[in-house]
Parts: sequence; C-alpha cells; structure tokens
Amino acid sequence: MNYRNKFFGIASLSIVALALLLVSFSLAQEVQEVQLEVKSDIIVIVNIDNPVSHLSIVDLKRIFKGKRKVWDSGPIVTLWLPSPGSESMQTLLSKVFDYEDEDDLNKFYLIAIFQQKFSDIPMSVKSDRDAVKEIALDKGGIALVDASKVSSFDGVKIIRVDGLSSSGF
Amino acid sequence: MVAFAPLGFADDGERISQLEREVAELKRIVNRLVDENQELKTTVAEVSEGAGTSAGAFSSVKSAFSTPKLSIHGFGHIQYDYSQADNSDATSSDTNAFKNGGVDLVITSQISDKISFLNETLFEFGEDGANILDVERVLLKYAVNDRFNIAAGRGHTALGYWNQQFHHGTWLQTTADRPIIYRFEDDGGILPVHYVGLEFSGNIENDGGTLAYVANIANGRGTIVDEVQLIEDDNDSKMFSLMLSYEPESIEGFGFGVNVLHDIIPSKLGTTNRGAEIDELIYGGHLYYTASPYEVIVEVQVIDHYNHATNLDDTVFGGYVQLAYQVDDYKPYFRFDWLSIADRDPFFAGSVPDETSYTTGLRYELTSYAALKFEYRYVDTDEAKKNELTIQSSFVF
Repeated sequence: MNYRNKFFGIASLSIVALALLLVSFSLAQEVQEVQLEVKSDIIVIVNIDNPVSHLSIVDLKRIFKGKRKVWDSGPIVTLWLPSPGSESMQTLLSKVFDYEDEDDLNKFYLIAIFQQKFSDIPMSVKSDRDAVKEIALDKGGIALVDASKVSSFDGVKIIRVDGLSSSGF
Repeated sequence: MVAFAPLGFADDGERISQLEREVAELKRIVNRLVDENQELKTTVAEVSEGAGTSAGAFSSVKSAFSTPKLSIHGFGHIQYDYSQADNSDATSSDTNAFKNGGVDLVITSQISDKISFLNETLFEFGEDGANILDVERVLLKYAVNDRFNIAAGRGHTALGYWNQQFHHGTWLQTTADRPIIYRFEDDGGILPVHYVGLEFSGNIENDGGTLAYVANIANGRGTIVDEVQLIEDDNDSKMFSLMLSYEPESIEGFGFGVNVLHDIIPSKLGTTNRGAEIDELIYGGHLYYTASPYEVIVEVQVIDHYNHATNLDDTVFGGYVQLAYQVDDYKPYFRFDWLSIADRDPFFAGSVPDETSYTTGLRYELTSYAALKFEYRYVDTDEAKKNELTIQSSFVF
C-alpha cells in the first residue's frame, strides 16, 4: 500500500472526526445556553385590523385604566389581562400600573366597577399564546405578551412600546 | 484524535475502519444534538405556558357575549361606636353601641358593547331598628365614545372629588366616617349628593394629561334638606351641575378640579321666610394626590342662598383636609373638617349646626378585601363638644 495515501487518508478522517467532535461540543454548549438564558420580550398586540400603529406607555396607562375605552377606528377596547404570575403580568403591574402585586390590580378594577368605569373585571388569558388567539378574534382586543414565548402571531399586529421590554427594545 | 486513532495499529486498514466507525458515530451524535436543540427551543417557549390555569381572582373564560353579563359585588361594615359629649346646657352624656352598617349591593351589567347598567341598593337599619331599603343608584349608561357618555337615572351629583370617588361602601374610603360636607342627605348633609335625571361625562386627552368632566341635569332639591326628588319635581326648574378635573401625566396620582351647581329650591309655605323660592349656587374646588403611599385630599364647597322671600343672601361654607400614609398593611390618617352655617340661612338654619372636627385613625388591611379601622374624632358643634371612638370592620365581596 502507498504509505503516503494511507497517511493522507488517516489524516483526513482524523480531521473530519475532530471537526465533528468540535461541532458536537459547541452544540451541546448552545443547548445549555438555551436552557439557562431565555430573555423575555414584552410586546403589545392588537387585532391585525386595528389601524393603530404606535402606542406609548402613557397610552397604555390610559387604556388599561379605563380612560380610553374606544379605539379611534370605532371598536370598543377589550382588555385581556396576562396570565397571573407571568412576565407579561409583572410588566403590566410595574410599568403600566406601578403596582407590586396582582391584588392591587384586582382592587383597582373592583373600585372602577363601583365608579361605573368598568362593568366587570377584564378577562385574563391562560398563556401568551392564548392571548394571541383571543386578540386575533377580537377586533378591539389589546394584550401584553412575552414574544419569546409565542411562535406565531397570525391575526395580530405587534406594537413595541418603549420601556416595556426587558430585552431593551 | 489521539484518543480515537492511536498510532501504532499494526493493521492500517483496521485503523481506517475504526476511524470510519467513529466518524459515523460522531455524525449520529451531532444529528441528535441538532434535533434536541431545535426541540428545546420550541419547548422553552412553551414550557411556562403549559403551567396550567392559575387560581387567581381573574376570570379566565371568555363569554360568547350573546346575553347581558351580570356582575354582583357589595360592601358591608360593622362597627362599635363610643361617644362622650359635654353639652352646651352643662350636661354630659355617654353612649356606646355596636352598629350594623347594613349591606350595600352593587349590580352591574354590560348590556351591549356601548350600554351598561349599574344599580346600588343599600339594605340598612333605621334608628328604631326597622329595615330600610334604599335604592341609592340606578343608572343606564350609553358610551358614545371616550369624550361623551350619557347616563340616566339616579346617581351621585357632579359635586367634588369625594362624591365621585367614594360611594356607599366604607371599604372604599380610608376613614370610617365621611367628611362632614359629604354626609348623605338623610344624615344631616348639606350637599345634594344624589341626583335623579341625566348625567353627561367624558375624558378629553392631550399630551399633557386628561381633562374629565361630569355634568347633570336633574330634578334638584326638595323643600327640605333630606328630600331627594325621586319621582316628581316640586318646581319646574331643573338643577344643573358641572365638575371638571384635570390629571397631568407628569405627576402620576395628582389632580385638581372645580365644580359648580345651580338649583332653585321650592318654597315651603307655612315656614318662616320660606314663602318663596331660594336660588342656590354651589361652587367648590378640590385637589388630590393619591399615588401610593401618600393620600392627600383637600376640598372646599361654598353654598350661596338667595332667598326671594326676604331678598337676602346667605353663605354656607365647609371643607376638609385629609392626609394618610400607607406603610405595608397599615395606613395612619388624619382629617380636619369644618362647616359654617349662616345663622339666618333659610334652608339649613335650625336643622344643621356649625361643626368642626379633628379625626385621626389607623386603617389596617386584614386581607386584600377587608379592613379594620380605629378612629378617634374630636367634634365641636354649637350643641356639644364630643369625643368619639369608632372601631369598624369594612369589607367588599
């Protein structure tokens, strides 16, 4: 056998083996990183037919506190509150209401009922994905969701609000 | 490479085969890791959403909204009152009693996208222990848009901050007792806090803040202080009131406003100086800052009465300053109230005394929806100087 050919054959196979080894180690590392670091990305979603294109934190406060109940395009605003305990709920509490816990939010809406600003406590969703499904069917709907937990935004429009996302959008 | 292909294999062919097997194995490992990586990315996005229904206090079911959706809540309070009075006739008195504050039911319903209904009915007890049912508010409201809503029925008059913020449930308010000027009509109050008629309201936004307005056209006062004209009007004139409040965006929780009301009080034949109607003009202002942990509320109301029977003007004025500060579940508070009735006022004189009071107390949140209040009041009226103590449990359900 030609020793030079054998040498190159063995060397090539060794290089390929080394490359595959390095790729597998880096993938394992990436899997670990995915497990440890998932940053939330809180966004606002409205129905895709809602012409609104921009909302500020002030607008969100007015909407969720009942000062703005009708969209400029006509539909009644329907609030969909985030799932209790979720990142979206924490963002709603801290950035929109300046509250520390969900009981304060519940009390706010109870008091608003007695003042005839709301007729009932707004509905809440079980998950960010459910929020997308509900808003897609609700012309006047608005919700806060964590974009990192949603794979499809069919039927909704995404509105990024300065200061809302923890990822620093 | 050294680990997988050590040098020194006698048979090169065997070594190559070994390497090939190892490369194939590595390829399988890499493919498996790629698949797992993809699966994990999807799973991480879904794992917290699959945590199940939270047992929070929020509804998590969307209704089809084909029928009106009814909501019932209510308030209650039970208290212990102690009062020690030094009367103007040099006598003194001492009373204490448990008091059942009754139940205040609030029923709301969203009849359609733009029409809502509210009813507030109070089940309480009279001085003789008789059951009293008081329909305090019945309102049908149509929301044209954010700037214009119209409601019809019985509600709370556009008259200052407290009357719009705090209704009959004592749980809503920090203190056990209402300010003197906002006592209900059947409790010696001087303001027409209830109306029967129409209400117009709305919010007007600009970049700087929100201007809220509430206006009424209603039946107006009856012939005596505690009469709310529910089903008829003793005179053809109607009461008009308007309240404006502005909340600047730059200071969260701060607001201020003004109110004005005009009415013509019917004559009361057979009563001295009440042979003709009385023109009533009420005007006032309010200022508040309620961003936690602070609570500051200041209000002043002035009532001008022009008596057509005597052609004389008289002025009644009153107000309060309330301060509170929240520390965890505890909220100490203080309020100063004053009320000055003109001696010859044709409507109030003889039935409502001058009064000044200093109130201090502590509100403790037993739970999110039940509070315990300990309140001391020093009350100075024309008739007596009183020391009053109230321990009140108030709750919402």
